[in-house]
Amino acid sequence: MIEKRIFPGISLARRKTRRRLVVGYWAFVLLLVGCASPIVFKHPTVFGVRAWVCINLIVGLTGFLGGNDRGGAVRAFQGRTAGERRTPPDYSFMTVEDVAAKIEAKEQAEKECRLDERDTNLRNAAHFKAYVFMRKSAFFVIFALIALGIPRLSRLEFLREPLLWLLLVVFLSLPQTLILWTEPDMEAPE
Amino acid sequence: MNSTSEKGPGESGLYNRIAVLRAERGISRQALADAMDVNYQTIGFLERGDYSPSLKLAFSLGEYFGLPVEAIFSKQPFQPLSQQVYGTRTTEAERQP
Repeated sequence: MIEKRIFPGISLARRKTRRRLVVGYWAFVLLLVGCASPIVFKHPTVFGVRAWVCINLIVGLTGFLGGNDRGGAVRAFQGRTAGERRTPPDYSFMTVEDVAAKIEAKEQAEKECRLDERDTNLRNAAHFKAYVFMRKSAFFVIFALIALGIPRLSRLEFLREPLLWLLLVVFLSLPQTLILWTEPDMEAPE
Repeated sequence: MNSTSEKGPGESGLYNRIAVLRAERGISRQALADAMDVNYQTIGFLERGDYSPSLKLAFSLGEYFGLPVEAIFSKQPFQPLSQQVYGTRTTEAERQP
């Protein structure tokens, strides 16, 4: 399920290393969300850069762990590239050689990111665990909000944006995190 | 070599002889994985007993090695292959009364 043995410049073969990577990633995300949200929401244009650039940065950061597309630490969950999902190939303006090369490249890409039976089981299990975690968290948060009482919520106004951004990152990277955290040490291909 | 029978069956609860069979035939994990149409990591997890294969994969492995499934996977620890083929021989020390 791990896309590459070396990423980004460090070996992912050992679980210990992967766990360090995950801890580093979440620490960075928390720091970024904590620092960026007050700035962005107070000043929708920061240093001439619009807030959506910062939002894209945070969403783009979730690609680091992979899963949603190729190129991250974890294999793409769909077993194919995002480009192939989005646009059907247009061969009308291409020569036969170009079409053949494109098909070959596509087959190679499909082979590289294909999920086998173990990968599929692991992906499904990770999504189930993530779903259970989010469901329990949602229940706890709603329960706490009701117990706290609506008038007191205005005091927690400053937490709204960071929590919203964090929720976005958690939704996009929790299954990948679970996979990287739990996957045992990897063997060499030889 | 027969790692799972010596160290325990791993998370799957199944012992297997994939590593021995692979070594006997001089096949790499990658080559076996290509033949089985799985990722090479899956072969590693199978060998260590960390993953229970589907029936389809188990039968494919059987076909590939030319052996019945029960010769590759077992719920009980395997005897060493040499012992199974040649049986146990009584040593001099055991023969003396």
